[in-house]
Amino acid sequence: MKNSRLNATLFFVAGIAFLILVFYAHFQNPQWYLPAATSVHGLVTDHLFDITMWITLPVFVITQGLLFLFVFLYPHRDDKKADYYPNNHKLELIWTIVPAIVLTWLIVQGLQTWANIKSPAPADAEVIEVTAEQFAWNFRWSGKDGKFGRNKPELMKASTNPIGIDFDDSLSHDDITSKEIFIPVGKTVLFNIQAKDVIHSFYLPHFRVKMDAVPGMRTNFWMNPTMTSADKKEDVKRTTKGLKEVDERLYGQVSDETYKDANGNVIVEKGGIIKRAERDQNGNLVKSTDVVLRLSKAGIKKIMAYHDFNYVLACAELCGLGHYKMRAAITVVTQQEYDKWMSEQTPDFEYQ
Amino acid sequence: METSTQTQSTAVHSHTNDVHIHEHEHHHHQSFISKYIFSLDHKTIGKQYLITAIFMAIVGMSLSLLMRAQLGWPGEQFSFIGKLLGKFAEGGIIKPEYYYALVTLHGTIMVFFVLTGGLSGTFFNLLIPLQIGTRDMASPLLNALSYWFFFASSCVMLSSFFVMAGPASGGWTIYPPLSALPEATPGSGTGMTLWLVSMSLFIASGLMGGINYISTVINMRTKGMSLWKMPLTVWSFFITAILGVLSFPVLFSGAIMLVFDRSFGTSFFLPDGLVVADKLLNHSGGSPILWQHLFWFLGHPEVYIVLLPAMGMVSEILSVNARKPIFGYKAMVYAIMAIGFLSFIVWAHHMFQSGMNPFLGSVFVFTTLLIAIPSAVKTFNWLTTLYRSNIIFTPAMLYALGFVSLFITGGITGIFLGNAAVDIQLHDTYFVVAHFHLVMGAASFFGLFAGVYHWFPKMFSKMMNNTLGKWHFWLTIISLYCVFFPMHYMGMAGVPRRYYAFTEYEWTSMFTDLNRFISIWALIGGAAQVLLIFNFFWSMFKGKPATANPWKANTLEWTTPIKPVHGNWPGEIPEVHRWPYDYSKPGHEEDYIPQHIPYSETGSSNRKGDY
Amino acid sequence: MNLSLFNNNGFTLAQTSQRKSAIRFSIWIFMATVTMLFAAFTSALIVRQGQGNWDLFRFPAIFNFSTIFIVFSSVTMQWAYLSFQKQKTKEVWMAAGITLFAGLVFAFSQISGWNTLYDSGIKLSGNASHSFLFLISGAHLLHLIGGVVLLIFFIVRFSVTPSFSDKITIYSCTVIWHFLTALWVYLFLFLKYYCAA
Ligand code: HEM
Ligand SMILES: [Cu+2]
Ligand SMILES: [Cu+2]
Repeated sequence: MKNSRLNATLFFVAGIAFLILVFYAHFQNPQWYLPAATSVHGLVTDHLFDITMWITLPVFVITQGLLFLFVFLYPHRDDKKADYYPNNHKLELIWTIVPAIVLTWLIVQGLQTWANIKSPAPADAEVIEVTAEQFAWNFRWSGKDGKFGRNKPELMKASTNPIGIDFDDSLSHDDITSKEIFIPVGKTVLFNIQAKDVIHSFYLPHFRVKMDAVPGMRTNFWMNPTMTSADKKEDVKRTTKGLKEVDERLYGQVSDETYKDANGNVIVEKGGIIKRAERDQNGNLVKSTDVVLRLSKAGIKKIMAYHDFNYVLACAELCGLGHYKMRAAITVVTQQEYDKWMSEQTPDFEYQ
Repeated sequence: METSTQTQSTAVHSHTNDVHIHEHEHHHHQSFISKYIFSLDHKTIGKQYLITAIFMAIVGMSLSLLMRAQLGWPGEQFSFIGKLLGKFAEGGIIKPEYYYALVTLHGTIMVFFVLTGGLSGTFFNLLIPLQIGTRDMASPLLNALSYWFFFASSCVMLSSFFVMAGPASGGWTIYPPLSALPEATPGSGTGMTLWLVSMSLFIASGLMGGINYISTVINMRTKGMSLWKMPLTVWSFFITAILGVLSFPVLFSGAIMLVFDRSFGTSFFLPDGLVVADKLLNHSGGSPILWQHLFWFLGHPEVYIVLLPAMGMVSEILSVNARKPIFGYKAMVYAIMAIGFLSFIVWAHHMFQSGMNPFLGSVFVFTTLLIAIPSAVKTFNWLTTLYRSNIIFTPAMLYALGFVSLFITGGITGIFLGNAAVDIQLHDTYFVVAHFHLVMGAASFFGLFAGVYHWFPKMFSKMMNNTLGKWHFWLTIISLYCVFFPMHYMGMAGVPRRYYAFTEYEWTSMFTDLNRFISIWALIGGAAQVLLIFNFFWSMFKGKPATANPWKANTLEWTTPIKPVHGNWPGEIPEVHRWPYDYSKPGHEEDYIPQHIPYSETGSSNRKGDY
Repeated sequence: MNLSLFNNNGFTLAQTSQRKSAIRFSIWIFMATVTMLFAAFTSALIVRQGQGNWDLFRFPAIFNFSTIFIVFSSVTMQWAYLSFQKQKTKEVWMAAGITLFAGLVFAFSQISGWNTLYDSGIKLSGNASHSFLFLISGAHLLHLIGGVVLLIFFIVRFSVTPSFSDKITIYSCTVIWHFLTALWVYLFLFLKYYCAA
């Protein structure tokens, strides 16, 4: 086989290139690797992720490396025979037992973490009721009395009373509702989750919270946020600010200066978000609103920009056509801001 | 039909390549229809499966490319997509309803129709009788029926593209209530009904096939072919068939209950107080989670139904082309059995965040991580098989090597997902998409490719073109890694799967480039498949004629005549004397000793442990 | 082309005996799949029952009769099988006929049981316990009808050519029949335990 050498080399080179690329991609884009969590339990699960990474990464490199190496070392030669090496019980025993031990250790770590996360919430937790529907999230606080009023499916009307609060139940009179989540930093929050129509999933990516919202039953998840939205925003701004090329990648970022075109018209203001082309009612793209397009037309090559940051609630279980945009805002504030916000809310009952 | 097998012919007791076989006459004249269409011959049925699967694979892949077009260039107007899809992509932009139909049918077609029906159907039919030494399946008629059910179910599945409201769009896992309520999403109307009808036919087909495979392996082996002399291909097929026969009825039970919920007003999966679009529905007391248990009780074994046959074929092909016995044959068999057994008790790892009792979750963390052990054993054994080997780089071998690499990459991420606490962040994100595409999708596809290149000569008496095969391999593996590897990063950041677009969130917008990169490589990878398809059909007619044993392999199928005959062996079925992996045995002149060569002819190489 | 399930398509005599055992074996695997189907139904019932909102209702007495009938039919089926072994044509005839009849009586009494339930307001679309009863007993009846068809096939074949050479058909009939009997007895006790007031 005259081609053997060539094939072996090709395989080896490609394989090593693959391993190098894996690391290169990582060091080029360190921000891609598991962004830091902002909840107490999230730090623990991320640690577990890292441990798993440190165990599996060497296994990955060694096994792939051996594969490429053996292919490189043993291409076919007519004058040679392979080893007749059908088994070796000792070896096989070793590589059964070693993974078993390592995995057992991982399982123990994992189960402890899991048990802590899933343990009952502390009694002083701030309770928020979450109701998912196609395609919106509704939140409710119990108000001063600390008790939620009944809700009834037959009263649910998306426009006026999405949660179906029964105002005949006096417990509901001070209940507060919102389409956004507000929570205080450093305090335990318990989400009681339900769904009206199909399965959704309550997912807070930055807080490592995920729990399905299942019609017909209540699920829950509690967590303890470690950073206010404002702090996190500042943090992200600090780490991502820089002079950036005007291209696709700018979409969604925030401009740090005001940029104008030749006629002096403002393309984007300081603090303004760099938007894509918008659509008119007919669904056609209005190119004149596309910031990147206008910047490059104006001959601007680089701009000062940084990443915007907002905590977000997303839906993580396919729930229908609007699944991909079933979002809600979540804001973490200080206790004082939280108390102030709370005092400004009017219970739904008073609108009745 | 008169059999021609009584005809005298010399036994094939020689292992040189020019096996002497009487080209005896066939007395029977088969019409085209009975020979190619309603054939009862296992080899023909295998080919029918293969051709159908190739067609379904092209469909499944095209659907994924449409999805990638949307995800890579969201909002971009592709006029040819507009023309292709009509009202589903007005102005050339795929609508969400159609995107979700694409996701659903892509998943369903790839998992069930290509990698279960196609892969098992083709190779179990072709190889079980040939490798265990029998003239056909236990029941050829049942076997043909199984194919025709498969064919019908494929037609029904594809017909759902032509339904007004579009095909099913609840994902391949069709979780109710979404899949049960046409009010909740358009695809849950007629499209879903067709999905359920199609899957019922598919299950019937799978059961008929499975029963046949199992009883054939148990009862029809040739003389001397003890279980411990079976090639790993047959072992893996055998265990796979058992998994299918035990798990598909469970999906069937779920499907029936879903049909009842949809059409006869029962409430197995539908709880009370459902309010869809402000309308209170009249169901009481059902449990959506019950469906998930029933589905995944099939669903997890299903991923091994997809993967195990590929593992078996890869083991065989690695050993043949490394010219070296597979390392730890028995351990490999026990690993297959362990995986098969464990696959029945890990299903709820798909449900850690579903609201299921978290204690139950803990049990499944344990079983799930256990299943990594036999998988690790298999990987180490494959690697050791390559150690001090003598590798011939056929296209099939390249695919087998690629399989090992993909299996490692995809398998390792399973250890992250199996730990419920880590899975909180990763569940239902692109990390999962990356994981299962690599370990199940790409790896099993590589098993399929390897099998096609390796056994093509046995199917069509022709050789495939090596150069095209190698180009196909390199383009495919590079694009696969470029498509699926970056998805891990999106998953770590938490980008959820089954998203029509990532433009709605700032936090997903940092992946705009990456998504375009992925989509471009998906297109390259898709285009590369033209090489395979061309090579396949071109070689069928114009390929170099095959020799009797082109890869110098030990298994019995290579003792059959080059031009396949009804009943497989013109003379007696060869008797088996040794295991299938006597490659490069010291003391023997050639580097292989086929299974039917008695020890009496190989005195110089016999060893103490041989008997 | 001979389309019989047991044809000799391409087989030498040596393999014919292998195939006979293969087909016997297939029947057992088939029963394993049916077992899995009902295992799934009954476990689903247990899971669902555990979630409350579960109505208990009165079982119509006729289900007791149908249970007796099917057990009886199993006995006569065995009689037919043994007679076939001893090559007693007339007794095969009689026993198979009685079995068929008992099977049909079973089917009709199941249906009349459902009727009684419907009359007392217990419907398929009612409480989950009602749905499960119809679902499970219905699925069993469908399988039994399959068994009846196989039995009719045997009887017709046997009356056209009363030969004792084909042992597989009667074997499959008998095994499947016993299996369906055992299955029903299990289901009956199970449903009674979980659904009956
Ligand atoms: C040509 C290569 C392939 C590409 C480019 C591709 C691409 C995709 C994409 C874009 C999705 C949708 C992800 C989402 O929106 O969540 C998807 C889903 C999926 N794919 Fe593939 N895929 C390929 C091959 C395969 C193969 C070989 C399999 C076989 C196992 C497979 C099985 C699935 C499954 C099961 C899903 C999930 C469907 C669902 O969410 O219901 N894919 N694929
Ligand atoms: Cu959703
Ligand atoms: Cu699984």
